[in-house]
Amino acid sequence: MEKAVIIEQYALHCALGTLATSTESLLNGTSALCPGPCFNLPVAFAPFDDPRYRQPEVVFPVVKKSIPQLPQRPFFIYAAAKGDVSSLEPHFRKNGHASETSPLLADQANTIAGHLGIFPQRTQVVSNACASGAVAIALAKNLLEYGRCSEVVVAGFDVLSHFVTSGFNALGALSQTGPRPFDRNRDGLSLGDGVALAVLRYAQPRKGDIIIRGTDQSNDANHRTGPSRTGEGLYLAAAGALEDATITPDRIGAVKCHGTATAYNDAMESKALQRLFNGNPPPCFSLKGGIGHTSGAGSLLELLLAAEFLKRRRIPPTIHFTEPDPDAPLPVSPEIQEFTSPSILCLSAGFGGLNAAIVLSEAT
Amino acid sequence: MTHPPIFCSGCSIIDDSGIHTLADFQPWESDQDGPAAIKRTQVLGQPYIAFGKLNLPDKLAFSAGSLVLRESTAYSPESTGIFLGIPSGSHSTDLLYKYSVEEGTPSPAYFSATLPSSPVADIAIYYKIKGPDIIFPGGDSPLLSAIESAQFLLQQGKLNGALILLVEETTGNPGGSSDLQPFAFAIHLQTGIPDDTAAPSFHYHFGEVSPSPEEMIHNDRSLATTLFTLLRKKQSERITVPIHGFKGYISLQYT
Repeated sequence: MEKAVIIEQYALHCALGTLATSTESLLNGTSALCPGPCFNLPVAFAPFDDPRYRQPEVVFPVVKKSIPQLPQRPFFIYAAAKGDVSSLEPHFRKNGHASETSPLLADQANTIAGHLGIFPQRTQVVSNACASGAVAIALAKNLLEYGRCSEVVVAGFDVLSHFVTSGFNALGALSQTGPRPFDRNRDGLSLGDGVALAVLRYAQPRKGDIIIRGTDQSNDANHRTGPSRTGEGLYLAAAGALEDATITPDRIGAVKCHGTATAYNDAMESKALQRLFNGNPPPCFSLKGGIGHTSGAGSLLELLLAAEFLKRRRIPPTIHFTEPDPDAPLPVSPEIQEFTSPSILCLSAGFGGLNAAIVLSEAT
Repeated sequence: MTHPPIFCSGCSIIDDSGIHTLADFQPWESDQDGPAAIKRTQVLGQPYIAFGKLNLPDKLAFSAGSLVLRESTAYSPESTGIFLGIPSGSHSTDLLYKYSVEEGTPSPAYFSATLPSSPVADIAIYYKIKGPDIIFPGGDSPLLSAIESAQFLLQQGKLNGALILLVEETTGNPGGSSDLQPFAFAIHLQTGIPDDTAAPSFHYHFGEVSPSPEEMIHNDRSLATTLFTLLRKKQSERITVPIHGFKGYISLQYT
């Protein structure tokens, strides 16, 4: 097999815990989202993780322990929508929700590199809204394939804050009853938070390695916050990723959807996938009923979870999905679904019409 | 691997002296206090109601981008991408949203602009630009990051045009230099030969170089200004860019 960009090592922490515990919990249909107020907002269903894990000085050293050979002089890409903006809300500091982290992503990148104990040859910060992590992976792939460096460390980090939660509440996007991706009774999203870390290298894949096989992005050019009603932008990104991966749609075993559980996102995503797969999409799933919408870090965090599901050839239940939506028809299920192909398509989308698609393959 | 040649088909700067394009210069009017006071009529011929509502980074990016796209009449929006360096991110809008929260009425309009990617949305919507976008709010040289990542996609044929932007908003930026005015820069690169066949080829070459001290470019604003000046003078030149994390040079070649 030719050399390829592989995810050599990876780890994460979200409201379901580590990569291993999150993978198993999601396959078991466990959700970390609980009813109750979030900060001082009457928002039901949020992850109530230990708030210390929202502090970079706590969570990055923890996650780093799961990366046994973290390169010391890598290219470093920090991906986040907002990262940690808790320093903008001092009224929440005394109850342990906030840290002294700079609200500037540029400063956060340097802080995080320090917490990881790395001395980057180059640092890049990517912020493509909720597609940030996926775009960072695509950028890393190019940097490696063009020989700019031999290894890239990508870190995704976005934490729940009153700042972000109140904003989504003001937009009327939060679910009051819990997120139900692709369900006909879905009424909005729930936020989550997490950190994800991946080491990428351009190398000869060995059996079982996860390969970044294809990537592409697009812009809906449609609306500041809402997705395209037609799904055109996401379709273009997904079709482009398949073309980049040089595989046809029938070779995709499953799709990790963005699946926010908002009415418009899920309907748009359904249209894009029905078109891409000519009316016959493979098994699809959303993770947001289990871990919430983890924002810019989420597209990396969910990609790494998708890699675990790809290795198992099993995708988890779409938690809280019970009733199919005739206006957003996709083969999602409240049960585990199995597949045989060694490739999975990962989709993400963000404010500003930003779409990203990545094809992961397992070397066989 | 043979890559298609890349051409530069437009460039603009908005700085404390005025509005610069390759063909024109408009100094600030007597009632204008620099880039923050830029008017729609100075960058756009058509009405655009939303212009007056744009926050400062969105307005600067939209204005610099519009000036370049006006010069680059041959761009294809379906296969054009936007690459934005914006070192202070959305910090000033973050503060506006924070104040609205503290006043008890969180503003959805402010919140939707509290992302470093916000300026890209306005340009993409207005000009129907549907290609890939990458936003760099910091790191080593956001401008070179934008140039390099655009060049990757142009060389791969995933794009045939790239609008590259740098927006430096010093107001409210705790990491910025308070003595500098806001600044915006835009350059349009494309793989097809531009209408103006005298347009230069543009290439960022990565590799070790040994620049003399006077050749060195140390930051994004000086890189942007140097590029613009050379393009306006139509000089073939090699610009060495030993900014931390980057090495090599940008070549501009007029034929």
